[in-house]
Amino acid sequence: MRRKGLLKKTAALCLTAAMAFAAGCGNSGSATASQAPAESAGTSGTAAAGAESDGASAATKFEDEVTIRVMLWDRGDAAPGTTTENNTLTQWLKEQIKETYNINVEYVAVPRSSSDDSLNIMMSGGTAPDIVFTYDQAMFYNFASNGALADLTEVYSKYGSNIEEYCQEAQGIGTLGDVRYAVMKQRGTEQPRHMAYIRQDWLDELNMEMPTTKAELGEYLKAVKENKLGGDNTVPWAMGGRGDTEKNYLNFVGSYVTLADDREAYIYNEAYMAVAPGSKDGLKQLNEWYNEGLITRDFPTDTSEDVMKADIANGNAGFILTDLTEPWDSFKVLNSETGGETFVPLYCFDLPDGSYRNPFEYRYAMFVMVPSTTSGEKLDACMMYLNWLADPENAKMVRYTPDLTENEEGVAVEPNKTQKDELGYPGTPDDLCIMNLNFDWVNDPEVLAQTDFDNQETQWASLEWFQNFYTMRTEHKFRFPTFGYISQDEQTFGADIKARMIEFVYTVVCAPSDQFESVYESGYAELVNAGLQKILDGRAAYYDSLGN
Amino acid sequence: MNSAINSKAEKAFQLFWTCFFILITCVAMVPILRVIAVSLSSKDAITAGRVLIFPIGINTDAYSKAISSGSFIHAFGYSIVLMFGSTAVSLVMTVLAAYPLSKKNLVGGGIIMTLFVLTMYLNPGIIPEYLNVKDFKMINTVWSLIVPGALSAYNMIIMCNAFRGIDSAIYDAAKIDGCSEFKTLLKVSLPLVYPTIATLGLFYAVGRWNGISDVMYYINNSSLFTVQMVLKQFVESVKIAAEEGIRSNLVADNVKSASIVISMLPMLLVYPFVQKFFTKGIMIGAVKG
Repeated sequence: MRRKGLLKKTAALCLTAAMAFAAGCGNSGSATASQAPAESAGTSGTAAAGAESDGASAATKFEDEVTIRVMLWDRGDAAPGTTTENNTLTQWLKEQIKETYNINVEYVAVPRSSSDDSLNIMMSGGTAPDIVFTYDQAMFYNFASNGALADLTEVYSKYGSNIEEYCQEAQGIGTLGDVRYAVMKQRGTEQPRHMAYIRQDWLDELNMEMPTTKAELGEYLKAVKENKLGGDNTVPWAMGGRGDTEKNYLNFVGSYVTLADDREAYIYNEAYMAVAPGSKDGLKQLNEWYNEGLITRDFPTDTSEDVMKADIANGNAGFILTDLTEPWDSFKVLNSETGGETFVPLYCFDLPDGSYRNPFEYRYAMFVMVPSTTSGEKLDACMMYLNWLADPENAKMVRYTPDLTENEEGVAVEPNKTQKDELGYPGTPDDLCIMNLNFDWVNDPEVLAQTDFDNQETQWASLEWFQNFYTMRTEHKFRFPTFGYISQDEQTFGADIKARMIEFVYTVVCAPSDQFESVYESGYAELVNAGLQKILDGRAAYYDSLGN
Repeated sequence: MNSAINSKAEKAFQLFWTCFFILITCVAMVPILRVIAVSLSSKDAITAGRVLIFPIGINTDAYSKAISSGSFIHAFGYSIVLMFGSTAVSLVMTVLAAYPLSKKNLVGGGIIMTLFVLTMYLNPGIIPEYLNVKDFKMINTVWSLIVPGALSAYNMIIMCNAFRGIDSAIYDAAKIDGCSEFKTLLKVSLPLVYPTIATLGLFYAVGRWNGISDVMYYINNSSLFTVQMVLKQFVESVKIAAEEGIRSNLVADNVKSASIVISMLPMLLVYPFVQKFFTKGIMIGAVKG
């Protein structure tokens, strides 16, 4: 599988380069020509329509209609009698864009689950829509560095005023050097990547204080095991074995790593944290706890996390480290069974200096790109479309549908599933809102807590619980430095190393105590042979080249 | 013979293999039973891991949700039509290729057969295939799901052997009676190889029903997505939600399972009727060829 992935990536790289060459040849004479329609559009004299915000004033209505094709994720959740491309929301959006800019929008559905594969093929085959997007930074860099993407610098400065105004904090990563190759979707709520939860009721039962350090956490885990607080199947630390995320260990192992400066933080980001200086101590600690029976036995086999979820829901687990809100469904079942609140969030992975490091999501979401085969008026039209979507008022109408309501806190609420089906709206309106989710209320803990509390199907947590959660999750914010550049080695080996790294950590944690060193050394050597050192060296060299 | 079957050793032998295959069948059934059980269970019971092969907190909400999904139901109906259409085209192509190649006196038959066989060993890869389909203007059309896979060389060889298995005296008799080659194929040969046709038809149908990679590569139009593609979206929603950092796009486990059960139905219904042709169909060519 790993080799297949590697081959696919290499093939994609070669083909993209070939396609870019072809596209480059085709476009070599049209670079200047592409300016003319834009200027004619700008000087057409037609009254500026644009979105109502000041930022859109540069965008004027095309005299002759322009048609653009826009990628749209299909998740198989269209309302009855509609399709992903043709429903009440896409119709509304098309009408708005047509009326405002005289642009016809055609949507091209791409299956969400195989989006990147489809995009690679469409780009290679020259059939990609005019607006495409991906979450994969390596894919973006691959396209951009091979000339497969249109230079957006000029159109962005001309028509991207809303994006600049409302999505600014996300935009840095979309440039390579001075050239902009992508505009970034701005995330809404600022949130950490992962969160640790502990059983407050068990702490009370054990007369223990909330752990604030890893040592205190260890004492708690041991006490849970000794007292069998979850019965015969007690699992002090319930861990899952998903192979596509570092969530099970990142915050813990990372707390053993000092990250002296930005350079080190850039080199050893989430994907490489498990081999950063000091991380071995964290792995050793996990290995000890595993062999003491404090961590789920054979957790790497629980790839779907069914066992972990069951351990939480059945009251066997005492502690978890996982994605932010992922365990809430299990909490709901457990709290209903116990008749009270159980798990609460905590920070106990203390750094050597006693502080905490809470890795946060980046402010950007997708890389929204325009293939180099799109130029002239179409390129202008693409930026106008994206700029229109960046306006929070427009974004709100798209994200929550024009039939949205507002709750008492002023939070927009989309129609429920039944209403959406009746009205012909897609199951995930968010997929059309590809630029901006940064609404007024999304970073107000009080409002979010009240909204979540009100939205519970059955009350499994109190308002105070949600308030505590939303307050806590904003603390100890940390973001790994990131740049658009990705070295050739990282492009080639990065995805493979990421998968191997997770496997390496699981293997090391589950090794017999007396074999820890040998398993670690052999696993590390395998990573190095697979390209790890080249990647780390490349990251260091790039950071140094910036002259920081 | 009777005495052999009745011998103790033979009985033990029969018993062992009977038990062995019952065990294998049970093992194979467990995942299916589990999917059915999950589809009929309550969300809380699933979360708590209490559902094994029997449903807990029985309800059919998941089926209502799956059926009320516009995408799923459309894809389901479309996939059935596509499966029948694609199978019909494939069978016609296979018969039309296999019949002449089964004739020993076909000029250049050996070379043509070699070219067919080569396609089994040489795979051009995804991108050349994509460019080929694109050049034929089939991207985003239903033809991209029918034409590229219309003929399987492997199935064609089976069919060819089936035709070769027909006694040449029957062909001679038809010729003497004034039958043209086409009429001989239609009235004489096809009725004699119907078990093979039924078997290959099932192979093609199952292949089309389960096929997903061509839909992934050639189709960017949601009304042409097959049911397997919609299921893939459901099943991988957890991975996707993690990438997007939001949890609102998760598809509930019971809805996923209900969709899988519904998508299994056509094959489960067809299999018993075609199963009897299996051995017969494949052996016709193998033994006499």
